[in-house]
Amino acid sequence: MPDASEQEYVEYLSGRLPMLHRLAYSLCGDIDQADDLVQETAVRLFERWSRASRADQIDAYVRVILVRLFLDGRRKGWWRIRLFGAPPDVRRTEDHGTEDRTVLRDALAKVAPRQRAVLVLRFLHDLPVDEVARTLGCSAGTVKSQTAHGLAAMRRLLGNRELMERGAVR
Amino acid sequence: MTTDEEDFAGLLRHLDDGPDRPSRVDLSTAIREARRRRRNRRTLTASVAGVAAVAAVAVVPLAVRADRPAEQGPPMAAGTSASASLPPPSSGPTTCTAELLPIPGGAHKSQVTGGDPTGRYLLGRSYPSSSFSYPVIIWDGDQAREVRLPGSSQQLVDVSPSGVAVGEAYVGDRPQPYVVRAGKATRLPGVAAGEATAISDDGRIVGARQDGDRRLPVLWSDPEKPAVDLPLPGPKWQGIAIGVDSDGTVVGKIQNGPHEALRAVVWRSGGKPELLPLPSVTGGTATDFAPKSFQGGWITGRAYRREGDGPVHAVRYHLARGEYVPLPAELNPSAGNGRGWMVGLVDHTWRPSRSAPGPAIGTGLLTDDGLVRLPDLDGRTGRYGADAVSISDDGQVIGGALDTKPGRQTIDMRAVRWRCR
Repeated sequence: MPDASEQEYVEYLSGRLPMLHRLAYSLCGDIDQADDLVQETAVRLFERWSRASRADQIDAYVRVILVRLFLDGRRKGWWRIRLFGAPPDVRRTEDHGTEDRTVLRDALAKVAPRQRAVLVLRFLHDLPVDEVARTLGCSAGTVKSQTAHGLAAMRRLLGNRELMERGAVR
Repeated sequence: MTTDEEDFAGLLRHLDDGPDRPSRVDLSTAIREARRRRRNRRTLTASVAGVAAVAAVAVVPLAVRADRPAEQGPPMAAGTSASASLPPPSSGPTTCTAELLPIPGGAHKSQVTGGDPTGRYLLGRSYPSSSFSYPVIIWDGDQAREVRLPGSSQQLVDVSPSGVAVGEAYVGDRPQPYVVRAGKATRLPGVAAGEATAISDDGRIVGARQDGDRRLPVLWSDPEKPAVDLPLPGPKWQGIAIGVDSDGTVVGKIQNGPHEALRAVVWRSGGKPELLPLPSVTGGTATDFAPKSFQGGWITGRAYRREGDGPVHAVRYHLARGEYVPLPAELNPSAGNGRGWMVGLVDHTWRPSRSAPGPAIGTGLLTDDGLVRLPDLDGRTGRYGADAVSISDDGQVIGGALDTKPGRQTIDMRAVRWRCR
């Protein structure tokens, strides 16, 4: 029997699932891992819902849970334990530019997890530096330096900037 | 955002397509799972409540002791006996003030990346353009000297009391280890790719070499001689050396595979690797101990438990005594000194909102006497945007960076020195 707070939780999170899934997918680069990450985030959020629902920035709160679970998972390797047993049932559909995106996504997946999180939050989710710092629990200076390291790593991984310069993915 | 960052943001936005099938996340399952966990925790709490009530009487703030694994004793220094007692804790500084460090060629964004045990030298780099090639800086007191290393992402991370600095620079896609003597940079020999992380008072250098995706700890007993590998406990182990002293004792941070627990390891000159026992922290034995500094016989670093959302604890191990020594407060450390004192982030746990009660995030110095918050240039504490990365042995010189525009969207980090007394 759902109580009021449970209903509130479902209403809130249903609306946020696409955003969370997108963030998780950017971080993991893998659909199934992204599902696992969002599912675990949903569990953690419910465990803390009485506190979280009173926060004036629930979105930020949820993002913190997800990003830290991601980083924590990289450390512990829990993401290797499948929460969803079945293989993905839909393959990526081929479309124009998919190959370039794959190259880009592969490069991003090779960047160290913390740096990747900084790049994704800052540039893909447009969060200001201090918000990224709060999300990761580090200082703004660290976000700044992780950004620089992450960008340098991407540049190395993408080779001679050919991809960036020829504008193939634009 | 710099032009470079804007380019990258534009590029990265093409990844904003999201997965191409609907998410399988199921909220009713999530709620059931959360309730199940809550029930389990309650049962567990009830069963240990009696024990906890007794233990609580003896609890001191962050009591840290060594849990010695059965298969090995704690590493002890050669010849340790009754003589290996701790020096009496000397009182640490209680107040600090911040000052901007001079940057050659004007006031650029900058940061400190290391310092020497005497407090005379600080290391750093500046960001005069949006490229990833950074001039590195060695400060001798207030005298700044700019040094050019080849490649990109250059940084110097440690410097001896005689002013010899070590670090790395990327050339192509490979990190390269460098030593800087009298303003002249020389590549350290014997590795195809790698980094230098620390230098002893007498010029021994340690670091890591890159081996595919792994890093392996190495020692340069002399900057002219090729690096030698430091032995690891088994074939899957990997990691880096983080400190070396003038006896040739080296301390490292290693793990038995890429996602395994981080452990502190000691090599006594030329000896086998000795894993340090894991410390006890709030909630039980730490799963990971990641050493950050090895100075004056103290190994200082971060310990944490992987279960749950436990905090990062500052811990210190006195090598000659072979034990962990408690600290009077909490901190998420970034560096330690020769007295077992540390600098790092304080109250770094996330709060639901800025207006929520509780102390603000900040930077601090942790000594035997307690925690000192490091102030901004205007003397205030508790803002975002401060980093402390080095601490001298007397605790009187701390290197780091401060956001000189606190509270604004743009971050303007400048290299600073805190002077403490």
